[in-house]
Parts: sequence; C-alpha cells; structure tokens
Amino acid sequence: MEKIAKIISCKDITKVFDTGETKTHALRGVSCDIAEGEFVAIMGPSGSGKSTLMHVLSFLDRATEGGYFFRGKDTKDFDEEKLAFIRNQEIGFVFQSFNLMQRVSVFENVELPLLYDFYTKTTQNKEDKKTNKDRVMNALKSVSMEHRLHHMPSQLSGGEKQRVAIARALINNPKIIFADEPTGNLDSKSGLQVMHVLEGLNKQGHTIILVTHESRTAEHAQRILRIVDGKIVDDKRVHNQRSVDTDNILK
Amino acid sequence: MWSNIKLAVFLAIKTILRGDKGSLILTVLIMLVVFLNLLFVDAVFKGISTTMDEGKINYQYGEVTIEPRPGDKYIKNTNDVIDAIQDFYYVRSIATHLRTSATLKNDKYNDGRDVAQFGAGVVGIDPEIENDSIDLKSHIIEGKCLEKGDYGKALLGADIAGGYGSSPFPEDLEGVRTGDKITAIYGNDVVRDYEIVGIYKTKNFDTDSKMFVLQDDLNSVLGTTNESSEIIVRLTDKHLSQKALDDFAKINLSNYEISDWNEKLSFGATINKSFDMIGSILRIIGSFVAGLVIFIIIFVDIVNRRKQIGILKAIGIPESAIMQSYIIRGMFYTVLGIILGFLLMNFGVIGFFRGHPIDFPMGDMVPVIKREALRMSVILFVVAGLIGSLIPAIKEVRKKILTLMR
Ligand SMILES: Nc1ncnc2c1ncn2[C@@H]1O[C@H](COP(=O)(O)OP(=O)(O)OP(=O)(O)O)[C@@H](O)[C@H]1O
Ligand SMILES: [Mg+2]
Repeated sequence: MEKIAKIISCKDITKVFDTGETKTHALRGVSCDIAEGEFVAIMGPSGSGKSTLMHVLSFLDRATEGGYFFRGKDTKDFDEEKLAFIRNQEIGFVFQSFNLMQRVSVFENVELPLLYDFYTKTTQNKEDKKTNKDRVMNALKSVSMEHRLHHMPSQLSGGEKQRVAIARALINNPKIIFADEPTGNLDSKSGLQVMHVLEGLNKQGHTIILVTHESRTAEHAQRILRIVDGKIVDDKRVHNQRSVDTDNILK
Repeated sequence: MWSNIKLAVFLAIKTILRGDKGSLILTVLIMLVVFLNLLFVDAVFKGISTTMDEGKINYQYGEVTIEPRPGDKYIKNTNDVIDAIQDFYYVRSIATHLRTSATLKNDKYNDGRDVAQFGAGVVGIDPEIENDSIDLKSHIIEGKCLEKGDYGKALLGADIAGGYGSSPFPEDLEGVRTGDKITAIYGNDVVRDYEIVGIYKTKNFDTDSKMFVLQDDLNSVLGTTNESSEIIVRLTDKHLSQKALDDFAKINLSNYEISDWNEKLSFGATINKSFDMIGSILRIIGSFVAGLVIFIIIFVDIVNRRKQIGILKAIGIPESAIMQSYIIRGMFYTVLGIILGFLLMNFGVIGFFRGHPIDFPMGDMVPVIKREALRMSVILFVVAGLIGSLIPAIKEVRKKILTLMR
C-alpha cells in the first residue's frame, strides 16, 4: 500500500478567509495523502470545511499556508497558466449545482475543455476536430446521454445535467475527479445513477474525491475522511464498500 | 497570447449568436448612430468648405488666374497671353476681365430724395466668351444675361441690388430691379448711367457684389484697348492646376503673376483649419461615447455572466482566451457599427442630400466624406471599442474562480 504513487499529498494546510472585519479559519491544519486510483469520500457537518479543502486540492483556490504536493510536485510555484493546464488536463470537476455553460449545447459543453490544446498552445485543427467528436460521443455514451446532443442545459433534468457535467469532467481523461455533493440536488434514483458512473470511472483507474453529507453515499468510497471544524478527525477504510445495484436504477 | 484566438472566436460567436438578439441589435444601432453622427458633422463641414471653394473657383478665380505683377495696372498684351496658353490640352476656356470700382447710386424715386449707394467692383466682360468661364447665365434670378451689343447696360449682383435674400453686406441699393436705371461714378470722375438687364446670384459673395458691363463700355471709361486686369483660365480638371502653373512658367509669361485656386483659397484654408479642429474635437467626443457604450455593454454582460466565466476558468480555459472573446465581441459591435454607419452615410444620407442640397448662404451644400477624416474616425472608434471592452474584461476575468462562480 505504501508503494502506490501518491497523487495528492498535503501537510498542515490552513485556509483563512479574511473579509477585513472577520477572519474565518476554514481549514486548521489538514494533512493527508491520497493514492492514485483511490475513491475517497470527505464527510463532515455543514461549515466544517469540506468544500474549502476540495477547492484547495483542485486548484480552484489556494491554501493560506501549508504544503501541497500534486503528483509529487510542490504546487507552491505553479503559475496561473500551469494551474489552468492542470485543471484542464488532469482534473475533472463535478459540482452540486452542475455548472454547465448556458446557451451552449450538451455536445459543446462537453467539447469545451478540448478546444484549447495546451501542448501545442493552439486551437485544434480539422483532424483533431474529428477525434474531438468521437471523444465527446464516447464521454456522453459513458453517462448514457448520447441521445441529448443538441439539447440546451435548460432542457435537461437535474440528473441529466449532472451526467453531462460528468461527461465534461472526464473528456480529457483526467487522473482525478473531484465531486462536491454531486448528488445533493438530485432525487435518489438520479443520485444512484451518478454514483454508478463514478464507481465505473474509479474501476477504470480514475482517482475520485467525493464530498458528501450522507453516509450512505460516502460508503460507495473505499475510504472516508471525516472533517470537523477544519480538521481531519477520522480517516478510515470502508470495509463493505457499497456498490450501486444496477438492476435497480436502469429501470 | 493570441494562439488561442480561435477558441476566443468560438466563445464570442456563441455568446453573440445565442445572446439576446434585441440587445445585440440595440448595441449595433447605438454604435451605428454614434459613428454616423461623427461622419455626418465632419461631412457637413467638408461640404461647406467644398461648396465655398467651388464657388470661388467657378465664379471668381477659375482654376488658374493670371494677373499683372504688383505695380503694373494691367496685363498689357492680353491677346498674346491667350495665344500662348490656349492650346494646352487641359485649358477648357479663357476669359479676360477688365476691373475697376465705382460708386453705384440708385435714385429710388428719381427726385433725389432717397438715393441708395454702394461701392462696388465693376467688371468688363466679353459676353461671347464669358459664359464658358464664369457661368453667370445659369444664375440669373431676374431678367437676362448680358449680351453682345448691350452698350449702356449692366448685369447686377443680387447683394448689390438688395431684396434677394441674405447678404453679408450691411447696405445695398435697396431694391434695384430689371429695367431700372442706376448711376456709376468711377474713380476718374467719369459718370455713366446703366440700365439693368438682369440680376444674378451665385452665392459666392465676392461675385455677387459686382456689376458686369461690356468690356468695350469699360474701355471707354478707362481709356484702355487690349489691356485686362485678370485672365481667368478654366481647366478640364482642377487637379491639373499645378501642371498648368509649371507649363505656364516654361513659356515666357514671367511678366505676370500666375496663381492657381489653391493659392487663391487662403480664406477657405483658414476656415478649413477651424473646421478640422472642431471635427477633431467631435471625433474625440464621439469616440469617447462609443468607448463608453462598449464598456457598459461588455461590463453588464460580464457581470451577468460571472458564473459562466468562473466555470470556463475552472475547466481550464485560459484567462487570455476568455478576455479575447470579450474583446472580439466589443470589436464586433464596433466594426459592425462602423460599416453600417458608413454605408448609411454614403448611400443614404449623402444620396439624399445630393437630391436635396442644403441651401447655405455660400452655396448649395452636399455633405462630403473626407478620406482622411474617415480614416481618423475609424481608427479612433476602433481604439475606443478596444479600450471599452478591454477594461471590463481585464477587471472581471482576472477575479478568483470561486469569487466568479459564487
Ligand atoms: N469565501 C468565503 N469567505 C468567508 N468565509 C468563507 C468563505 N467560504 C467559506 N467560508 C467559511 O469557511 C467555512 C467552511 O466552509 P465550507 O464551504 O468549506 O464548508 P462545507 O463543509 O463545504 O459546508 P457545506 O456542507 O454546508 O457545504 C464556513 O464557516 C464558511 O462560512
Ligand atoms: Mg460545501
């Protein structure tokens, strides 16, 4: 177990929100290692700092203090361009509120992260466009949304939106997927569909970090980090990992 | 920095096409109107000065004027000069003028009770060749033109006659009409009566304050024969005037002062300078307004789309591509406004005024778009649009992802 490569390693991370009048200590020294391929759930009461931790780990925000090594590299000196690169190529996001681009079709939403090629620093050419199409179609198939290509997000149900968001998250085949309460806005059946997709991605080797309130949802993970008041208070393996009963959700 | 331009274009097109059509049309309309306004004021100024210039050329100086050297009173051998220049291919016509001045009197009731007077220039012409050079015939507003053999008759400028609309002179002969008799008292105390055959108005006030008589009539007053005071040379194209000056300098005309319309229009030149100045100020104000419009449109749009921008940044779209997409939008509105504004000006407004010229005191005015002014307006407009979209783009897009996504 120690031999597996650490994709995330952080030490004594603190995050202070300073609004001028008040200082909120959202994270008070968080240390943890996450190995490649793990499925980790972060649990804790509201306001405990789960989202804040996720934002720091996924480069949506920076820690106030502490060390953060991503795939073995110190992230301290990463500039904006490097961070954009990581967010685009190595990370996928799934948010509670879906966060799809409005007025952009399902297909285009999923295609968006592909449009900028960080390696050649150019927008893709015609040839790439073809493979783009295949990749988008594959991503949409893997979440069973290939029949809604030209719909606008506003024409989709919550569960469908979330599955499109997942397709977008995995379009660049990222090492790691962050999901902040991905089932929070969904009914239980749609929620299970989403968890089923995440389980599948984990089986394919993607590292998954899932923030959730519900212990039933958390038990889909292999490991649960419990966070209270900005500190990790518990870090335990899940012994009988739940998995979605597919007969149940696919009607 | 511009390597991701295609992505920026993609984002811009999506937001323009899928955005609210009404506000798109409104924005372009505002830009169009601001640009049109800019072009229009400029074109009116240019139209006024062009009208004035044309008036001076057509009714006063011709394209080239030949005059005696300072100190000489007359061009001595008028016919020799005409012979020397008339065969140049670009010389369209030549007119010779004998000029002097006189005090004109109009005894209104023929009893000496009320006599109006006016100090006027008197020009002696040969009617047979005059109309090809100075076309007074088409500007007769009453009566007829001076003709061969009209001894003792005169054609009078409307500004002298009085009662023919606005004039820059405080006084006139208080209503001389065709058929009236007026008296001219010349500088050498010769006194002549003339019957007015017609009244003309060219709207070039230097011309409209003159009286035209037969050259032979004036010869008898001044005691001249083959002399003239000025030779008006009309060319086929006013832009050939410099060539004419060069050519005339080569044949021996060094006894005379030869100038072209460019040199003669010094008055127009000063007013042009003032117009250019006002035009520049208006251009700057107009561009500022345009920049402000773009700023507001882009700013409001960005603020309404903060979350979308946050999402784009979150999924790893570089800030530069997002900013560029907004600059492209700003440019889209600006350039569309410029193009439509120009088309409307060129084919709509100017076309209309060609059919219905504005009746200015100095002539019938049709707006004219100056190429230089157009270029300056376009450049300033584009720069304003660029700044107007750049500022909100930089200001907002650079914000933290979580701030934007909130
Ligand atoms: N931008 C901010 N400015 C100030 N305080 C903040 C900000 N974001 C979060 N906080 C505070 O930091 C603490 C942790 O917030 P966080 O969103 O991480 O909680 P959470 O565990 O995700 O809660 P929930 O389960 O309700 O989503 C809270 O007390 C919150 O009020
Ligand atoms: Mg949260």
